[in-house]
Amino acid sequence: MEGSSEPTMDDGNVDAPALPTEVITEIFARLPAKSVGRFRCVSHAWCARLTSPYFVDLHYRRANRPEHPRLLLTAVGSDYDDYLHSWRPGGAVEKLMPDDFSDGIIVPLTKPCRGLVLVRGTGNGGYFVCNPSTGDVLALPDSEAPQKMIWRPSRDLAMPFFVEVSYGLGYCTVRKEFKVVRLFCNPEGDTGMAEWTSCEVLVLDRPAYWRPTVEQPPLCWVEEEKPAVFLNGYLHFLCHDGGIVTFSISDETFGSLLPPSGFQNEASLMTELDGCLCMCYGQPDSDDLYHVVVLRDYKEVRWETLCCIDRTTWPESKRVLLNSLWMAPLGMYNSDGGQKIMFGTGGCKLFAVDIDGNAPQILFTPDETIIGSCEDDSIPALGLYEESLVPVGHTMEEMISSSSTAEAWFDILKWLPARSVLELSLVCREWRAMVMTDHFVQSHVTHANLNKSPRIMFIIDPRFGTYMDLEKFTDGRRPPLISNLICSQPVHGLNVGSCASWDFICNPAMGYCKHISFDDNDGTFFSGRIGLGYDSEFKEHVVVHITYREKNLETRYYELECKMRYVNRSQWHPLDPPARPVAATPPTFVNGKIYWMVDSNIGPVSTTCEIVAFDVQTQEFEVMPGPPCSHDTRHMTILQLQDALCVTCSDQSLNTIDVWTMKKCGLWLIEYHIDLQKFLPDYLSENTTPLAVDPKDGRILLHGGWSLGYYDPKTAEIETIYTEDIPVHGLKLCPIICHESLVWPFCPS
Amino acid sequence: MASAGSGDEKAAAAAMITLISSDNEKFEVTEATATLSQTIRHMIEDGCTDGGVPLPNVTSKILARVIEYCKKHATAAAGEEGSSSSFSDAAFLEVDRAFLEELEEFDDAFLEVDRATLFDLILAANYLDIKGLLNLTCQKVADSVKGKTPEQIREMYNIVNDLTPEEEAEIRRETQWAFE
Repeated sequence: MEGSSEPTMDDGNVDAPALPTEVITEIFARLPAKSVGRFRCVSHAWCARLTSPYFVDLHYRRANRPEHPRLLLTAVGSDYDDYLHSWRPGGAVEKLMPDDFSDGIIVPLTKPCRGLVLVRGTGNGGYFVCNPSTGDVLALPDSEAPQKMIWRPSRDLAMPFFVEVSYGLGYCTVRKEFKVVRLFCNPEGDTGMAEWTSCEVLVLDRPAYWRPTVEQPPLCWVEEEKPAVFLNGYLHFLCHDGGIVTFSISDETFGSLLPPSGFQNEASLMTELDGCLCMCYGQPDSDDLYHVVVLRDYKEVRWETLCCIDRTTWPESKRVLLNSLWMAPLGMYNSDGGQKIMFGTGGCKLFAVDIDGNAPQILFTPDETIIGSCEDDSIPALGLYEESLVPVGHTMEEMISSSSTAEAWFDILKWLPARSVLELSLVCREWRAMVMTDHFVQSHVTHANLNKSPRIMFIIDPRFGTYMDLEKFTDGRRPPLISNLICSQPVHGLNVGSCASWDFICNPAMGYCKHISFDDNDGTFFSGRIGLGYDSEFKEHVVVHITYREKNLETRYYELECKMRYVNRSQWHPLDPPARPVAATPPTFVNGKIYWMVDSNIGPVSTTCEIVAFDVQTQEFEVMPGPPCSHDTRHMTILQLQDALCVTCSDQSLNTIDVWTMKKCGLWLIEYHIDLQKFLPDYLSENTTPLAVDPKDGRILLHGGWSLGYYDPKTAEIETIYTEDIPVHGLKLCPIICHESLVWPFCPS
Repeated sequence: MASAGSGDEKAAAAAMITLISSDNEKFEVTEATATLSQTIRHMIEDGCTDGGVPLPNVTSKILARVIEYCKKHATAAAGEEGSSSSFSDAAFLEVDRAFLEELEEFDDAFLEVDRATLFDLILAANYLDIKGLLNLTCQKVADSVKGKTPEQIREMYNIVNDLTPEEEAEIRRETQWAFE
């Protein structure tokens, strides 16, 4: 520690009296967080001093004064500028931080906890802890669509799934850590309680993932619109039946509180007001009485009605202006007339009423500000704001890269099969958190499949996403034969498929399957209609959907419709269709492009074989020359072998297959010539397609409809690894080549 | 390979780099060997290798092994470049294949070290950003941990189990569920 008399901040002006460090620290502690941030650049010593927990704490106490409340405005107004804003009585609206960290509209869920606010993005936009005064944001893992809330047809009762969740943020003063807590439940309509509940904790800035609480939560029905309220070291969850479940942030035990007597569970909400737990009830957009009840004595559970607002006594103009689908008290407000209660509305308006609920005074409307007019909504459009330098904590990715041991394990585990990875997530919390990061999942798909023999699974039931490894079919167990089923080769850990008139995306290694539904499904089995690609820049899978609006084989007239979306988004974007009609052959993905065969039976007559390619990054189609062979697409397939684009072309009269490969310069060469004559009847050239090449020995895995075998180009022999002896018309084996993959995209339908 | 060798010597005469381990031991290596490390390559490009490159995260024992790997693979890289620029007839391909086999044998022998050394090699490869060595060593450890129980891994690598019993039960349920 430096002596208090040591001169600091020498600006070269010798006449200016040097202030002692303590005094400067006290001055800085009264500045807005952003200004302090700038002063951190003065010197190493000052940076260290202004980042120390002591100063952060001091600043939090000094820079905020309860009698001068400040507001966080999250509304999207008519002059929307992609920012969150702040406002304080008597001041102007100020820009705080960009709100682009979520796809949805940002909704503040809690009052600031040492400056940190829990927010969520609407429409599965995920949950975040943010510090609006520094602009720090931390995305909470698994919060867009928690795995516990994804319905899986084959899920057994050991892993029940949940339909409701409520989040809360608290601070443990003993351990000096923030905890985000989420309580899942599966409500039971009859009783108003819940069938199952589960509670998880995520400690910020620790290398750990969500973990279950030691104690089981009571069977309560919580709701996402009613986030937990943090007060006195406890989180308070308001339940569907009006009861309150408490959760101690430090020792993680549950308890309960009784609601106030006379409480009507109508549009009820809970918050903190005047340092007390506060319950409000009464329809916001009506003339009903609006009750505000506070828990004056926490220990004795003594509720006290703070005010009861009768809006019919208000002047008509104010009633109309303040009518909203959402309203909640934000804090106490001291004006010249004494103490008032300050309320916010869903239209981002702010008003104060006397304790008797009369004389509404409008404090703020967004219309004349940089926000612009706001439409009313039933979600909060504003909350409280505090100046704070409290960091939101590091992401798991940041924690891994700052530890060389963690980084080493990351690099080791990414080479393991999916199952081993998940089993080893039991080693310690850090490993568990590491393998659950998106960064690991993406890196794992790339590395765990390098130079590995193809993993062959069978589709047992395409509707329910049940798959089984080829090796498991022993002792007479046989995979089902299915007709009208097409599944793609793996694309960065996922496959896309079509069965009859519907489509799905799956990760067979993890038993993940998600249907993709379209409003404009033409109902026909057209296996070329969905292409799956991977955008390596955005690290997201892309789905491209092509359908025929019109197709006339006689006149060769056709009209295509085309759209795309990222697997994790719900929004489809229309695309300019390709300049050629696409054939009913499943497309393939190679090095950033999805390729379709061109249908030679419609559209402009062409004498050569052509291919349509879609670049997932530029999102444009192009037409390219195919191999110089017969281009009857009934006997052709397009696929990826050893990272190269290939087209197979079968000659039925000779029972041979030519595998053409496109070289880097765009030149097509015959890579393999496969003579199947001596392998009849198992491998009929028109039914046989290559599935993959085993990089270890160069053999080609062939699918003959009812037989699977490895063809060795060196010896021209086939080693059949599986065969069905009763071929029934139309039915086929449905093998699927899959990646070792932990990819499990949240895929909105 | 004789020609590649003499080329190496010429390069050696042209530019040598001194690497200094954490225990202050000095290693003279050719630039071709040193630049297998992206970290050192960037230092050379930035011209900050005069007076030696201090590597405070790598001990002399590990650095010696890393240099051994880099020397072998730098020669291999030089050999490959040579063959691709000249016409590649069957004889050249034969030489290439023989050399690749030799390199594979070298890698296999190189990995015959104890667990601690292997882990230190990974840390060094990561720090020095030597992709080939990192992949090689990581794959080796991955093969050895595959099929081991979490308990065995904790014992082997001295990792403290900080999972609560509830947490463990939950992860087990999830894992089982993913692969039912």
